[in-house]
Amino acid sequence: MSNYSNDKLMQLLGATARGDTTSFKALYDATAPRLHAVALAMMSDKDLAEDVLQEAFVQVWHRAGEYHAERGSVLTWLTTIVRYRGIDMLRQRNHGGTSGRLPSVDVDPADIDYLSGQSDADTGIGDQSGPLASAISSEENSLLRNCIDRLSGSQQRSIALAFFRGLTHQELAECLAEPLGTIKSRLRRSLSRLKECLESLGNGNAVQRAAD
Amino acid sequence: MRYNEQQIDSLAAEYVLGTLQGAARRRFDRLMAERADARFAVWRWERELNGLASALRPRAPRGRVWQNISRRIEASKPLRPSILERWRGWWLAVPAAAVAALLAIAILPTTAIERAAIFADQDATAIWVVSADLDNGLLRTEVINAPESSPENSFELWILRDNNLPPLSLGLLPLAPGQVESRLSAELLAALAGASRLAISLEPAGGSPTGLPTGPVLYQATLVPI
Repeated sequence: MSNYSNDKLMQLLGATARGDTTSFKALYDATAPRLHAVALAMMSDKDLAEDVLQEAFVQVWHRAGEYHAERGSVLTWLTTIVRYRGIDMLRQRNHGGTSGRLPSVDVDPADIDYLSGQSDADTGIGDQSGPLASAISSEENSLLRNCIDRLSGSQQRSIALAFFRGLTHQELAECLAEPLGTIKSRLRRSLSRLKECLESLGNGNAVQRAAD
Repeated sequence: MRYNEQQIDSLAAEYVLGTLQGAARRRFDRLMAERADARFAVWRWERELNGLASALRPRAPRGRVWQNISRRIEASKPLRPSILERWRGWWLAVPAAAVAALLAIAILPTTAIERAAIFADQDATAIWVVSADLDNGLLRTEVINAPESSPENSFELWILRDNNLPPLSLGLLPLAPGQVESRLSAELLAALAGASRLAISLEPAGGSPTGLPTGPVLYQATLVPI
């Protein structure tokens, strides 16, 4: 997608922090399609996804100076901002008296099921066939890809539904038709397995790799 | 409540994933404000989990997203002093071509009442010279150095008015080198006679769809009698 190196994005972000609108526009052009994909998968609605993207970039404009390497690459940091915005908006909507988002959004586990290789033309999820691991860019995230690959199918699916669709524990339970307790403990186990794997394979280089 | 390292880490993971919610999420927000180890744990999970996003196919957003962002950041930005300072020294700063263009307008064999404005970029390079011949109801726009542009956008010229009156459009600015002359309506003539500033905004191709500036204001210039 964007051929910008992290160094180049960092330059653009630095200039954005100094109030340079041209660099900010270049940063937007280089990253918006990837971030929009994240918002679209999460919100399942074009207008809401664009609202999330807009809010996120206004925040980036005001807070560009707060970025530091501990937050990962520039793209990682921007993804973080978009995801937190999306999560906030989803949870607000749940509180807003709408009758839960599952019936209206109609989340179909097949949309997310990388094992099924089904394509969801509307969100881009499942665009690649094969498991979640093979969809992850091996160029930028080889470690994550390897470690996701070591999780069971149901572990991958739970993480994918929470990460991409922004589902809560309760929504995951409804979506996968499993007890809440099962979902919670599976997520916990998945994440701790992931962490162990990243630590052992990463051998302490994960931070370096993400920041490169 | 006291948390050990492992508890902090698993809360951080679910915070980043989004499954930590409601009061628990707010408690963890407070914990992050207080404790560096909680922040570091969250940042590590952000670095690790957010790479999942690379599994999604990029999807270009519609053009209006940028237009909205651009409008919001412009609205929040104070008028940069550099614009005013630049204007103060414009006789020294603008290149000879622009001064020549302005003088050429000034020495036209006419007694017409004219006003002119020079728009310059951040390096004080003149871009457009706009002049209004109020007697004959003509607006002349000369392209000195066309800015970079794309087919998706047009540059629109506006009269800025006092008393909170909305800006009035003077139309789109030409990009090809040379001078363009257009006839002014009575309304625009009256507004120009009382105006002291012009502005240029970036709009969708063909100009603002609303009749008011929708994109960022890229340039402003003072309208001076010549």
